[in-house]
Amino acid sequence: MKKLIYIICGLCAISSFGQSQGSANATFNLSQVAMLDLEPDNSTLTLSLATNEAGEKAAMVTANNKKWLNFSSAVLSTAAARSISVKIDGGQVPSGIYLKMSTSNVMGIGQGLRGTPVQVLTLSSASQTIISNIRGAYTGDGIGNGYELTYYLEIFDYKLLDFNQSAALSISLTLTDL
Amino acid sequence: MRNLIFIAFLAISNTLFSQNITITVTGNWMKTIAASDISEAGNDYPTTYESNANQTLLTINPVNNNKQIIVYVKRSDIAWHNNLNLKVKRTANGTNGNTAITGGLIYQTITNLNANFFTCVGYHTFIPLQYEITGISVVLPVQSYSTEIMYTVMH
Repeated sequence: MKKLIYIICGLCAISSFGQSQGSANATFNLSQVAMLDLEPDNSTLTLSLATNEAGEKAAMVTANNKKWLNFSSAVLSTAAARSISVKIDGGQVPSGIYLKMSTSNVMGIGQGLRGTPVQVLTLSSASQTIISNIRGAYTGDGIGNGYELTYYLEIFDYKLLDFNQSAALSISLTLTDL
Repeated sequence: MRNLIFIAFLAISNTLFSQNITITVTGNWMKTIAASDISEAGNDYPTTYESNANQTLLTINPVNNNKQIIVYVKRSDIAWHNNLNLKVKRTANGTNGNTAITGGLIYQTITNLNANFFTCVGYHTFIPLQYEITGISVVLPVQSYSTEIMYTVMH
């Protein structure tokens, strides 16, 4: 009898409480991103060779020969890594010299898998990888962020040099899926 | 004895078949995070995305209009990433003029555990809720991230 009373009291207590539930969904669809930029800008660099005195070795005149490579990249987890390649798109390097480019290690405020650089390349009309294994990453924007690219000239054959020769070259950098 | 059995029957019926309070939730938040959200190459996505102020609407309908109601919130992940931080806040009292409602006016993180969101008394219609998400980044694998936000009312 007592037990029955306890059960009744318990049920009455339970019945005085109420509970209900509802829900909404939050969904975020992320997109693939592949953005590339040169800093401070993509203006022309001028490289020249000169000697101070007759008989001296010709050397590259020190000039502003640097650019910074910034990028943002977002990839599917199943997608291949990305790379950045460089090639001479237009024009021809004057005879007797190489146009070279060195790529620094990554610097600045960026995060993620920003890739691995190839230190020095001789530029040509064939596409060459300068940074590989880029996945989800951003370098930060502006000078001091990403990879510093340094262009310079190297003489490989003095007898081919023509000091009256000049050339305008167009160089392209491309961020691609491998 | 017969009376007791009758009372027991009533109590059991009440427990099983009565619903003392109901909550109706409407309005999902679906957001496409586009490459155009990145202002310039080298940057990440904006640190914060915010929904409309009335992205989700709650209607709470209790049988007893004098009891305090507690609203809890939690999330149940469908596809999620630990870097993502989803928050919710209440932006108004609802549309039926009932001002007996307290709390929930500043953003609070929605976790996988039920947490107190706000309290109220009586019937409330279309209480507007706003969401904020942080942690979205190009560093995350590209996919759709989704979670179910569960609201529980109790009194």
